[in-house]
Amino acid sequence: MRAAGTAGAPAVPAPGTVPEMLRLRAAQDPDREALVVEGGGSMTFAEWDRRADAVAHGLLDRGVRHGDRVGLLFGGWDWVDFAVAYCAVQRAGAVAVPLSERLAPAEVRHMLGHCAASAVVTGRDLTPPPGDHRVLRPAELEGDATGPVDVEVGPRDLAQILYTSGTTGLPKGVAASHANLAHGCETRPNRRRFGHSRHLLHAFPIGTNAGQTMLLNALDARPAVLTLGRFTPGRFTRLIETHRVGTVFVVPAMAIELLNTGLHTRRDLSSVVLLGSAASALPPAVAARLAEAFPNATITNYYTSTEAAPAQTIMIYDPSRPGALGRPAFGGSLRIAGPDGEPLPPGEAGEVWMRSPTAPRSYYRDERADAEAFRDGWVRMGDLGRLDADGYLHLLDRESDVVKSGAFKVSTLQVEAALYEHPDVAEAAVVGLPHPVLGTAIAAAVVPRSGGLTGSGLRSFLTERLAGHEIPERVLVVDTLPRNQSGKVIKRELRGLFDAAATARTEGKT
Amino acid sequence: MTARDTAAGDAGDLADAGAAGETGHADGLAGTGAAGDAGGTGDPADAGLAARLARMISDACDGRVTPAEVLTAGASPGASLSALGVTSLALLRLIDAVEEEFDVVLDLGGGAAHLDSFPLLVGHVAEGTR
Repeated sequence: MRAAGTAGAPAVPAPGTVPEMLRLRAAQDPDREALVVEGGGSMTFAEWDRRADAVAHGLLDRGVRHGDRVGLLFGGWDWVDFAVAYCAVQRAGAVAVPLSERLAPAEVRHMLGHCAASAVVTGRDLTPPPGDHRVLRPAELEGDATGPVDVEVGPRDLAQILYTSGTTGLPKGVAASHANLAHGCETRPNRRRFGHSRHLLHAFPIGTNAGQTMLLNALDARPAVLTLGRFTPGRFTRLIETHRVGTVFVVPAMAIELLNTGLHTRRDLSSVVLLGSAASALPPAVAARLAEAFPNATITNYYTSTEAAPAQTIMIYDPSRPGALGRPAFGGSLRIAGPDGEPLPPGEAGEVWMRSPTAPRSYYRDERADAEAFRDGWVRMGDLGRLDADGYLHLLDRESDVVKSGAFKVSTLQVEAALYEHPDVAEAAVVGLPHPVLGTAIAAAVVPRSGGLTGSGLRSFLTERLAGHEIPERVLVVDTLPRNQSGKVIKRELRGLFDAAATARTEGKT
Repeated sequence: MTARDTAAGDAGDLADAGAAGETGHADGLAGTGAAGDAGGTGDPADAGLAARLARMISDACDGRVTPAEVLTAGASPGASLSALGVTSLALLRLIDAVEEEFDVVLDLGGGAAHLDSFPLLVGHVAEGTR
């Protein structure tokens, strides 16, 4: 999603920090539109720069100090204020912790507590859960003080923590330095990324790696970054048509839903020359349909993770290699590793490892998980795969406690843990079921302690504990869970129960 | 081992009714107290609107939640659509469908409580179409 820049000496030294990226761009293109939110305003680079300074003053005046973690709780309709606050926090020398409004209160509480945030800046209509942090609003932070703040921020300083689902149940904080985020920043006006476009459209949520990558694109790519509070196929295609959008980023679930509506046959999507898909692998059949729906677009799949970025593989859809995810780009490396971590030859299946071309990320305040996932600069992606003879990556299915549902990673262990908090749940098991749009839908089977346990009651209970995308779409009340001799739930058999329940329902048996 | 898929019909009692009502069942319920109360106004026009929106919600859920469930369980005090099984995917479909049919925007900005409450949803659309 941050395509490799072109070789050659830059006209000006590459910025080493995110605040420097904004300062430089504001000097180069002060009046150029940087960010546009449908129904939520827009902002030029000069405005972004000036407001980020003002908010940074406000943060420092309220006691935020170098190295503090500051939560940023914003909804998608508030991208402009979020972008201001994000850069302001970093200009104050603090660490931005973006948090989506989609998270449940208990999740936000965990994240703010885990990183010991000293303050939370919140967008419109949002209230963070109580805790040991100050609650600040962007408007009140923008006072009379202007100009740069007197804080030194360097490439090695921590810039951002993103929370992502982990295999142990609780979300993990992925920490990135300024060097990591600013890597590859393109400063030459005629070499900017996506130079063919005046607008780049996406609908990635705040707080996701894809969303944050789009924020970095806003800082150094040519097109203005256009987004909307909530993705719907109708709004998305309308924006493409009205803005003659040249570059579009989606997750496969959005692409599938868009195609299923048939809107591509009614709206003019001919302006799109690059359609990028991120967050999970684009099914080949969907890529083929996209190529028809967007006749002038190159369909491109990006494979990375919150932990591995900016390492990534890029694959321009090639019908002769339908399942391939591409080769490493942007200076990163890729290997298929055996049990000892040594690279395996092409054709052999193993763990997918990637290596960042710059300062790698790490798990914040979680040494054990960090040692497990990060090895000598390499990141274990949590996927199984193989390389073909030409070095293209192919993923293989695996049973995992983390599933991809739409744009999100969901830890089935975290969902199970939340279910076990219900007083009437004796046992719970959560699996991913194939879903035609989301890829995977979350399904829970529960054994009740007593009668009266209902799906709606459970979902109500989970609303306070889990984000919407983590709440099970299917809930099955069972007498017992299928287990093997050692007591482990057999998830394959569990999926069979859901299939049987669906069949029974179709036949009118329930 | 017995299993009950609560998303299918939390509901079991309503599932048959919902299936029977695949064509026009929601309209049949439109005059009932449940539908009439959904908008909270007692206005017969709102009852018709409630029935239409219940059908649209069901369609957005690929039928996993029936119109009858929306009109009864969804209209009870404190009930939430997400608890009923209306997923975020269904919600985005509903938003497009309502914009297309009623020219009413459901979610500008945050705090859109009517996105999770059927009575509030009916009231919001009724207000937007007056």
